[in-house]
Amino acid sequence: MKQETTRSPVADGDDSRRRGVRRTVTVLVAIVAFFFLISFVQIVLMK
Amino acid sequence: MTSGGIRRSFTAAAALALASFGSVALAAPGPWQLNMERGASTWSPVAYHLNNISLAVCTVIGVLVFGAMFVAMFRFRKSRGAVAEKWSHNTMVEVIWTTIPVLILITLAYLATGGLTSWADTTGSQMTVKVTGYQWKWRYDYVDYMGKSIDKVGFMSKLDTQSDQTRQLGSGMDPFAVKVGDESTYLLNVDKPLVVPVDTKIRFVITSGDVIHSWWVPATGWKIDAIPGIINAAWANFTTPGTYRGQCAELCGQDHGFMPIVVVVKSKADFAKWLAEQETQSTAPAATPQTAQVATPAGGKQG
Amino acid sequence: MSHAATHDHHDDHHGAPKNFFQRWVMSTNHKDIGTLYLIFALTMFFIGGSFAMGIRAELFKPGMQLMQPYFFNQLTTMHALVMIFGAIMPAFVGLGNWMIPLMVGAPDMALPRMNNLSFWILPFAFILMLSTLFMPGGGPAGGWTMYPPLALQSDSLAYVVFAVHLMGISSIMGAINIIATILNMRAPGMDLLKMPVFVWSWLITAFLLIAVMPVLAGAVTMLLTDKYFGTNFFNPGGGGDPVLYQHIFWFFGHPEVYIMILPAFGIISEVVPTFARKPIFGYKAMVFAIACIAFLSFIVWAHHMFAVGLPLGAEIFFMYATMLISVPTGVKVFNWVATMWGGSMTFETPMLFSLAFIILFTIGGFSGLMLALVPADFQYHDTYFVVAHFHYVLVTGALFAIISAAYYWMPKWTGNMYSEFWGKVHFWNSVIWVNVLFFPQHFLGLAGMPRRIPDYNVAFANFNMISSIGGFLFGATQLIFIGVLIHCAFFSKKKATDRVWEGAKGLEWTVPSPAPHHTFEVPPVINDDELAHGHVND
Repeated sequence: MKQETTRSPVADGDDSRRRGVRRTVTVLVAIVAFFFLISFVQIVLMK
Repeated sequence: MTSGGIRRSFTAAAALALASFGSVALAAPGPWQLNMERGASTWSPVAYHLNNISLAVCTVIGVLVFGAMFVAMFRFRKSRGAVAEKWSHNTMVEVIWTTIPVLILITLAYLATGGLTSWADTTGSQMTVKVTGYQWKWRYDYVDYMGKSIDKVGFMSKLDTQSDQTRQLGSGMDPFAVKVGDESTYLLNVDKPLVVPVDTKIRFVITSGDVIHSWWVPATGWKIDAIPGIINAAWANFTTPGTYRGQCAELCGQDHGFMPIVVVVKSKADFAKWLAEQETQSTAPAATPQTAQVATPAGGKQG
Repeated sequence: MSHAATHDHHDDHHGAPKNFFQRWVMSTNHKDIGTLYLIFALTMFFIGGSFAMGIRAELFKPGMQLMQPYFFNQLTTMHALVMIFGAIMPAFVGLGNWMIPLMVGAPDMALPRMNNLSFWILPFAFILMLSTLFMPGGGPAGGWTMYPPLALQSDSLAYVVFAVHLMGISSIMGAINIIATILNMRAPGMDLLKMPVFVWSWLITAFLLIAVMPVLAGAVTMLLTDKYFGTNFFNPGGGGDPVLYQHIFWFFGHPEVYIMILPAFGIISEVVPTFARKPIFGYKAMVFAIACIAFLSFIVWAHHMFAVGLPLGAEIFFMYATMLISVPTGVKVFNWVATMWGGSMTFETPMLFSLAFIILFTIGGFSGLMLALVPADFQYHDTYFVVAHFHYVLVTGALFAIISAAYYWMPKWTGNMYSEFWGKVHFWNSVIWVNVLFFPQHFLGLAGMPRRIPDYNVAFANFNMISSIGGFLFGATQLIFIGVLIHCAFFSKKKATDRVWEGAKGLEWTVPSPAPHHTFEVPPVINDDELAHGHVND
């Protein structure tokens, strides 16, 4: 049995998708920067 | 050569079996040795028993889980006409197989915590030895014994000459021929061992002069890193006189595999005699052989 | 209207580019990039494997026969770096790239051009790192953990640090891409709790990656500035602390271990239900267990450092936290067994590798539990017991899961069935020789043989020789795998059906075999019965 497809184009959904991707990436990049910096801050914490 | 090696190993294994039945503490690894040694200090049985208990627990769980798996693999084969059932959930069994491991873990944690606390207690020691790791040798300095501080007893301890010649690339020498008496000591012997008394709580303070090393004599039941800038402490109280062998256990450069540790445990009387000899030697002005030992290993071996 | 018809229509317009350079170097297609990752991982697996063969050859008998100790240290260091960062991690990223969009009904990854970049960084990073072997002074020889001060003695430190930075950037971009895809690109109706466990495992793994790769980058940057710019982060002479490096490194290193095993859990959770023809037992518990393990992985790092002289309280805390991990891991193993119970099992090659995974990974877990007990760890630490432990979880764990996944999805990728006979030959040889290789190493460690030594006392001779023989044969067996792959991709006459396996469920099996260049350009309608986990409340 094959999956059926929705034949309606998802033009509206596409834009929200793009915004969602952008928001996700922004949050993730912030996490990356945070953890990179915190590895240096550990030195202060350990002393 | 290989068949000779095998024959030798079998004789050694037989000797080892005899030795362990005779309840003599293992001083060095034996061929075909399967389990951890019991050690020869008051604390080392803690590690040994914890090892045995956890191994037994794991074996029992393993037999049950793998047993169930094999039963499933034989009973529920499509080729035997098994028809797949539909269920995919059972709260009861899930709670059971989460709780039981937790109980087992609590038991193990209880045992381990007790052992760890006794290990960490270095108070009440009757002797202090400072151990310093260098690329690729150890230095031992005697700090105090029975409340008296010791001056100027300290020496370098490095791989014995016979092992060192044999281990050179393409030396053509047989590692099986490196022996002290009947014991194969290839890479497990030093020019000058650490000598300590039996039945004495010895505090080891351990540090390093260059990179990180790790001081490990299995007979003590522990190892601890020798770290530059940090002084670690640990203790051992040997119960049986004998010669105990170990090695550096932290990668420390090209000759990491060639800086063994030998501890000779003597009776208190013999140790006192040895210590007195060392003290008179060190007060004598020309201590040249020691400095020579220190200087030799550096040249020509730099990677 | 069938989905196949939909994308046949699309294929006419834009199929795969005919130009080789355009198709593979400039690719933005998740399937092509997935293939590139998998080929890269396989290449690195053989390069890293050749280092292992060198190590096992030198350890075949006591005495130095083949190489200087310093070169031996380069081999052990490079073997680890290549296998971890070059083989296991890219293989999982490749599988994720190929399968995640297909499994969630997305047309491609969320950021296809970044996907291309994160792959093409890798070959350059590894050329840079491997080139140090041919330089005067040789490659890195201080172990893959790069502990200072030893690592600072190496002439090739700057090359390795730069290579690690590149790999880190590649992994971070890959992880961001995977999270963005899973969170935003799912087909309507593919709820988070209907996703396959493999997708879940990758989602959680990707979060681990973005949290810890920057920490590794920080640690190696500090090494670099210590060596070349006069800082004293880890230099006790200048007020620094060598143990601090180990704390930072293992804060990365322990989650890294789970980065290499969580996707493997995901794969096993796909393969076992398929060949047991029964839905996975406790889907929610499986997902929750993965999340638990990921969380715990952040608070256990110091169990790699029990011998550095931690305070008693720290040793107790890290021991308890480490032991706790065995609970969710145990739940996973029990659930796999319960999935098989009452099923209707067949034993094709992917299933065989998965079953071997469950047993052998569990053995690795047992030795892990033993290692967690601090007093016993004082003996095990830095011995061959540890070597045996992590090879059981990484070779018979992560690698076996990858091989299982390759056999499982190969028909979907190539459109052809692989040779079941040769697959089974590959399996039985692998599973026998890997145990001959690694099981005796437990005994060596218990008897007192330290890790990373090029030569040893004659007491260790017997088990080392057995281990080396197992190693050579395990290495040779993997050549069969190459043969099976090439045969399947280019010569196999047996066409694969769309469903491929009788019990297979999930969106990836609804597209044709081989999967066309573009899939799900129009989102599929999700039919819960078609999903492996469509009815989560069951």
